[in-house]
Amino acid sequence: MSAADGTLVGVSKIVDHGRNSHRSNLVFLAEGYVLGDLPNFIQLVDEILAEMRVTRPFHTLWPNLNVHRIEIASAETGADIPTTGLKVRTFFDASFGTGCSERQLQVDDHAVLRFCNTHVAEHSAAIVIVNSQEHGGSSGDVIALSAGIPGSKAWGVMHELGHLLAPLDDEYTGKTDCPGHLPQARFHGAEPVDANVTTVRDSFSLKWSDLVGVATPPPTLETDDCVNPTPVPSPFDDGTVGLFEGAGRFNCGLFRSEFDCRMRHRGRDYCEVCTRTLARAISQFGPRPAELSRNLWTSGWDMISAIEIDGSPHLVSYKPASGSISIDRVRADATGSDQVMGSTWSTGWTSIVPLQLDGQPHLLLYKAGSGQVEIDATTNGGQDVTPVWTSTWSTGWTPIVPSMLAGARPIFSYKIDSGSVSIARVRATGTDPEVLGSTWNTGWSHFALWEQPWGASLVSYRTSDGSLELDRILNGGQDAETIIETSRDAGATSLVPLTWHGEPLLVLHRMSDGTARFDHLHDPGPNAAFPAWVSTLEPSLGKIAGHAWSGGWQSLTPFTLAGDPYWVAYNGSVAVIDRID
Amino acid sequence: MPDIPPLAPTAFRFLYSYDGAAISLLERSDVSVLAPSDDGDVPAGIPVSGFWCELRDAAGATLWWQRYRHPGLFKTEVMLDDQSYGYQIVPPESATTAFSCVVPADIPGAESLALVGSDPGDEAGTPAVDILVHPLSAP
Repeated sequence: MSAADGTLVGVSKIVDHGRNSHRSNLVFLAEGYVLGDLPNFIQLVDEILAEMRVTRPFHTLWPNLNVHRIEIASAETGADIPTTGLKVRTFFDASFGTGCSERQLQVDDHAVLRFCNTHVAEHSAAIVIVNSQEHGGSSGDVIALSAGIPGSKAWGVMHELGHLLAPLDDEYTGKTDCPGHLPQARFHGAEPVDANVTTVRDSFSLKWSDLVGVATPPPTLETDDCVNPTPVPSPFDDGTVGLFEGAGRFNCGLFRSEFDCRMRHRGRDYCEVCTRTLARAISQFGPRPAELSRNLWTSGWDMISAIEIDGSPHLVSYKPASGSISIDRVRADATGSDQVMGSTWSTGWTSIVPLQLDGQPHLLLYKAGSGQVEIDATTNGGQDVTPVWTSTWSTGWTPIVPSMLAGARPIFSYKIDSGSVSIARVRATGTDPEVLGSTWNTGWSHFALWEQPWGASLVSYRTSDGSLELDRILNGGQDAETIIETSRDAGATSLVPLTWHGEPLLVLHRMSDGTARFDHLHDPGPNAAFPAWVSTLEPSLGKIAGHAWSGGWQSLTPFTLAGDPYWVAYNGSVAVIDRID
Repeated sequence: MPDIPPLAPTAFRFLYSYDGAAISLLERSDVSVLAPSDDGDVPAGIPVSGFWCELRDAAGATLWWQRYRHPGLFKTEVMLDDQSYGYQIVPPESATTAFSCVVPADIPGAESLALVGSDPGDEAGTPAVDILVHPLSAP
């Protein structure tokens, strides 16, 4: 590599989920692209990411990744091809091999790593895309891949990321066509340290014993001939976890957990063992709340919500028992908040819902006991709160969740005892007739709702048994369809929706023991276009981080400050402001 | 969240070269990034093959360890042209490469870094031994 062989054109952070120091950072580098060809590199990286973004487990773990693109214009196009005598001047000296190794495409790993150290010091994986229509690649600590490999380029990248991020061993076997080069027949070595291959032959002391069904025999499938194994189709259902002989590039003596996996054939999904190993490795790079300030508050602020007033986050806090109300402006440095309005209202309000109506901050107030409802305008920087509409609804609506659907401001309301559901648009002059009236199961205790390009995603949680459902709210709120039915730990006391660097996140927190779980919601919508090579777009709700705090935090109220996600946590005597790093 | 101060992660990234026979330390850089989390209990009781990085205290006790891909270039994997989208192994064209390990810089008592692994020249899965041990402060 030398300056004469190419020049750095630009470094871009193309997937930005916050601080590089807290994320796993993938770096794509251009090699063998002259300046005029760089748009092809950019397009190829975009295609790879579009596929990764919707592929298990990266679709769930996406918020834990940052992606960087380094555009380098080489002096000449392509890579050296010694078998044809082609020699070109490129930045990282890409070269194909010879003989049996003619598909081995190598770059100067040392130069790549040093270059990454300079431009993205936090790099976790360096992926060099070589501008050659010849088929080739290689990987060690640097992944090199030619633009000409057949099939999906993302498949190769994801296989290699399994090595780099987890790390996972190969699960393919010792096929070789090299003259004078014997296949890897039988492994006689020590138990591999990697999570996805083993020499162990019984399912009890196995690394993945928890995934093996009682009816699955160990070994599940053995190789018939260690030198020339007969290819056989799987006699088991897809997803059967057991002990399948042939892994780690050896035909015999090493076992994998499933018949097929992305670490065996790049066009397959990761098996369950590889999926969870990757998830475990990447989940440490998930969202991480950090305490920025801690202030004493009086007790009894049982209802806290956040609303933006004049471009700044404000907290609206209410004591249902005494009627005390306070609106506080959050300081720009998050060291606390300063009261702009304090008053005493009537007692018994069960919902105070912040809404932006006609570009102005408003509050919708509702008493579940009497059905009394009103909409208040907040003016003068939050100092004045004035009722602009009052009415009486039926009793029992709790909770009430604000949303945005098709540019309108509807509220989602639910009655926990009867299961009644209502979606109705709110205006400063009152509410329109409901667009959805229905009856769901009873007992749902918490809801979270995110606006999506096609409608909204609604998560419902039942604290009594941990049931959790994802529904799509379509057609401006007129239709709802259930997409995911699953469960989490019971007993959560807070369900917090976050829009975190553009990603919908769900936080389930249990105040008794301080445990918190962050899930990422990936919902491509009902009519999403499939990227090339992807056969399905699977909605998912998966864990990306878990934390354990002290107990007693009764509420977590999210807000945005200077573009960063925050929340205020309150435990009855202390209010803490966290930035969600 | 409450109780957790803002994180300012500190780590060391060590860059090594491997020439088919020996691993040499090239450089150390300080980087503000989360190092991979500890992999739990160090394998003990049975011989284990593979490759990992360990941080050790002055007495040689392991304080942190993390599995890595073995840098030994025993074979090279090549993507097959056919529709199986499988792989083939071939002898490496070159056995020279570079690799890096990222380790946490804030583990109390950590004094040395050990690269532990199977014989880099033999893919037969020999029991892991110390391949290279150097002070955490090096070079």
